[in-house]
Amino acid sequence: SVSVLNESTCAVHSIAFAPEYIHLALAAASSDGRVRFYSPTDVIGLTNWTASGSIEFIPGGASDSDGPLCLSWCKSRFSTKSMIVIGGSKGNKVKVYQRDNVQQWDEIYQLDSYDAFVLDIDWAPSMGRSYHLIATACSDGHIRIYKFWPEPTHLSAELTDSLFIREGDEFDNEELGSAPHVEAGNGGYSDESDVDDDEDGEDASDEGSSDSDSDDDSDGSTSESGDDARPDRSGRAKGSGKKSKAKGDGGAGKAWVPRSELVGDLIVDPQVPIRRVRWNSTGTLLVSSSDDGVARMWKMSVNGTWREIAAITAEKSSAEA
Amino acid sequence: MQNRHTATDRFVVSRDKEAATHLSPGLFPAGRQSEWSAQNRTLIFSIHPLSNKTALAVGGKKTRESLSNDTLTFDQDQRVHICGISTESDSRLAFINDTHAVFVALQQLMEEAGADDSTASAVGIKGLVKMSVLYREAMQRQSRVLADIADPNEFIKEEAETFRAIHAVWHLLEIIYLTTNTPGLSTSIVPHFMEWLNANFLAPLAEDAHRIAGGSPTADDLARNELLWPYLKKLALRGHVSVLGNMLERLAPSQLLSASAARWARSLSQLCRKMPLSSSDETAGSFNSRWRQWNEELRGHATAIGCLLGDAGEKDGGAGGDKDKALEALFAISEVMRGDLDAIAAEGEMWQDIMGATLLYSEPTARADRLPALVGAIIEQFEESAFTELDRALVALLNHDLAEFLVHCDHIDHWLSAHISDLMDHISVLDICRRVFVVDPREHYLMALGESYLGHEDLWRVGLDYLGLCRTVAGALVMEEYVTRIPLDSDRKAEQVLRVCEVYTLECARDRIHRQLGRQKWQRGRLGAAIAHFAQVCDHDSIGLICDQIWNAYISSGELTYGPTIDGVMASSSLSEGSGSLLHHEGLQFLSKYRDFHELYAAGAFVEAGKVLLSILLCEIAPAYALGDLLVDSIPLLEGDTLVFSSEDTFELMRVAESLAQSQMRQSQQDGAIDCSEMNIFNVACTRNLARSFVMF
Repeated sequence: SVSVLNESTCAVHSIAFAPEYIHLALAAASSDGRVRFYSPTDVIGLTNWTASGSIEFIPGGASDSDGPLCLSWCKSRFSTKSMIVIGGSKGNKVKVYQRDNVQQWDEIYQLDSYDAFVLDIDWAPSMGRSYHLIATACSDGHIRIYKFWPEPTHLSAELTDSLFIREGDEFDNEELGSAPHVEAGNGGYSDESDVDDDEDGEDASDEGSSDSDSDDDSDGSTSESGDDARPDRSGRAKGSGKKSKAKGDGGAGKAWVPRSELVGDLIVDPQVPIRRVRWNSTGTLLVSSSDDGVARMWKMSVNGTWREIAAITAEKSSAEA
Repeated sequence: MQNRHTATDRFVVSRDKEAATHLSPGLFPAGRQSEWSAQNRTLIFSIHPLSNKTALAVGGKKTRESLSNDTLTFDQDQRVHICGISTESDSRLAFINDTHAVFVALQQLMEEAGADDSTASAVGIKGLVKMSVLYREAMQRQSRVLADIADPNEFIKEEAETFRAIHAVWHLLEIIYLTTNTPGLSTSIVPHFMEWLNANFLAPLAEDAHRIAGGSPTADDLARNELLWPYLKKLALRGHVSVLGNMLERLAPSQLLSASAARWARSLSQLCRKMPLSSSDETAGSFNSRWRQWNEELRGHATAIGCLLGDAGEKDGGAGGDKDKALEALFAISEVMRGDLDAIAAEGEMWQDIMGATLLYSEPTARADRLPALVGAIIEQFEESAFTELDRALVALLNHDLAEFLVHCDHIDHWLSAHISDLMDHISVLDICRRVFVVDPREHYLMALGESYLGHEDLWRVGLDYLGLCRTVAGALVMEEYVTRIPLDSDRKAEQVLRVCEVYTLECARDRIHRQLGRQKWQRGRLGAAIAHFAQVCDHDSIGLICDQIWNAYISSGELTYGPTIDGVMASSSLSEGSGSLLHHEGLQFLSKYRDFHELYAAGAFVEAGKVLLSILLCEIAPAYALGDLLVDSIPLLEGDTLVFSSEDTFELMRVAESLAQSQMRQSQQDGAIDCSEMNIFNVACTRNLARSFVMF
């Protein structure tokens, strides 16, 4: 072995390396309710690792009997700050944490809480989507899939005045499903185009906005008025007098808060604990395995519903001796 | 099609009814899941980075320390199974490749058409029709290939059925949205619909025709044949009116027919020949009036035959023989042909037949917008639960419910949904669906199709094209993610992958791949190739390290063998654009010049060799560790019979030696160390050379 990290005195349930876009780091969740982060001092030899922060997920600590703790890093390279989602242990809550500086993690959102143990959790690669996908696996036989919109990027603050936000819209309104498209910066090329290029950012902004168009999850009426507010070819938005619910830039309106939506609740009946869920490398396929020895593959249909497309069981077939 | 839901979608999988594939061999006996799970076992997995393959194995739930020592383990616990959803079968390869070429051509065509607004629509429709026909030809080819397989198994039969369905769906879409919109052609959908019906639902007629009319039977043979009248009715339904007319003509002389049946058969046969056919020259008004006239004559016929039947029924009291049967059939045929909807519904077996006959005989100039009204009335007579996916897709298309249509196309085949949504997008009818679905259907289906091909060793390139030609942000990102995961099994494959990166300008991926290939080749000792890759990404540091390695190899072996490597690198760099900077890399220049020095020395051209050696030192392209060796190399030239170095040259050499000695003292390094004895020899040689040079110059 190259190195042994033994700060934790309890069982370690879940470990994960940070995505390659962030510097090399390891997160480890143990049953005392803490998630510890480690970084190597020597990136080549990897013999020396130091603790570089921790999250006290369960204030006051926890024990093995409270259930396992699981975690998953956000793998998006377009997020301004690293994020990690942790779930399980006492209270069976699922929360998202964001790193502000090197050692400090802050809780920014609670995704959900359950009546059953959270056995696994996975954050999908974002791949140009304007939202994040997080899947949780519970001992009650449910696999839950959430869409998650964290804070917008600085670029989307620029576009706040323009795209699709109409006067009088409630902030939680479903129609404002277009609002997250403003964070096309989260997933799309619009993040790569400089803010300075806003005047000329043709291709990037266009691709960002066309992605918004196609990803528009509002009904027809939004598209119609959206026609007026669609940015012109130069990438600059036409205001046409729209008032904005500003994104925490101190203007009129409320500050942005992260939000989520439970978009899929996949239930295995009769109930059997779902031990593991993983997304494929592009977040288009979800695979789960459970205590009944069945691995199931799930895909999203064009309607936005998640359906099982294949199941593989470890049980011997009746034809087999 | 309902609008996008806003409530959470709940989906329940019923384990008892689930159709799961079993691992072979299985990991635990049938029906003993709970026992297996209670023994601290569960299933764990890992997903393949490229395809949808998954590795499955047995995992534990508790830590090992909390288990007792006598816990049993089994062989199955140590096995790893690799499974995946089956990728495309080889039987489809040719079809996939052909249609991929058409797809790419279609995207290019639409891009060019879009660029030039003035000709956009004109080029667009004709171009789209051409492309659509190319697609259908590929489908027909595939159907023929499948039909030619002797002794087909279940899978082949299903494939054949699928391709028939794909063709039927595609053809109907082409007719409704393309053919009837082509400038210059009639906008009536009826002739095209009949063509579609007969092309895609052909089977019964072909068989019957052979059985009945084959072998030139006599009129009496025909009349005796029980299959005759159903066959003639089908001919009427399908609009094969001239064939019907001929058959009636051949039948009429039969002695087995009653006089009235024979008379009406002849009369009907003549009417068949008089059926008006539309042409693009004729105005709608003129055609309609001809049609009405013909229809009136038919009505007269039908009424007359009906009366006869009524009279005969009264006389015989229901004891009708063949004569009545013939008359009844003639009555049915004339009712159908005059457009009586009840008669058509009674005779038609398939809803498509009824639809066709209704269009042909009651609304011969109908346009595509009449279809929803007609199909609605017809479908009511059928059990929808008995409909296949093909039926549902066709009905949705006729109803112009394109969102529903797409969903059923996806159930038929994923190839179909991807390509047809692309075609629909180019026809500009997909926007309606975009408001209904959560995601852009074209992007969704194309990406799903592309991803499914990536794990296939022959189709990965096709898969990448589908992702790239989505022309959306998500498609490009997914493509960039996957292109770096394509296994680079051979040089040729690596070149193909790099070509993809160039075509789609995936700079990050190209960078990573070049670096990866560079490292691979470096490890395998292919240093020239490694340098070429690093040059593509301007990684001068790595090139420098390779040059150091080359130099060290030379020093330890004493033989200069890297010449061809350097030549190869320099030659290839002058050809390719990206690595033009190679020529200026110090390490390579140094090695190249040093090789020249060796060659000149070996050839006895000492003066030139000396010049080269000096230029290496003066240009300061030599790395620090090589300076000592270079100075040692100068000793034979200094001592030689020929005067190689002038006084200035000698002073230069001494200056280099001096700075080398000073830096060694400062850093007390051993790199490039020149030991004392060699230093002394060098100094003496320099002094002697100086003396000589003063005398000579």
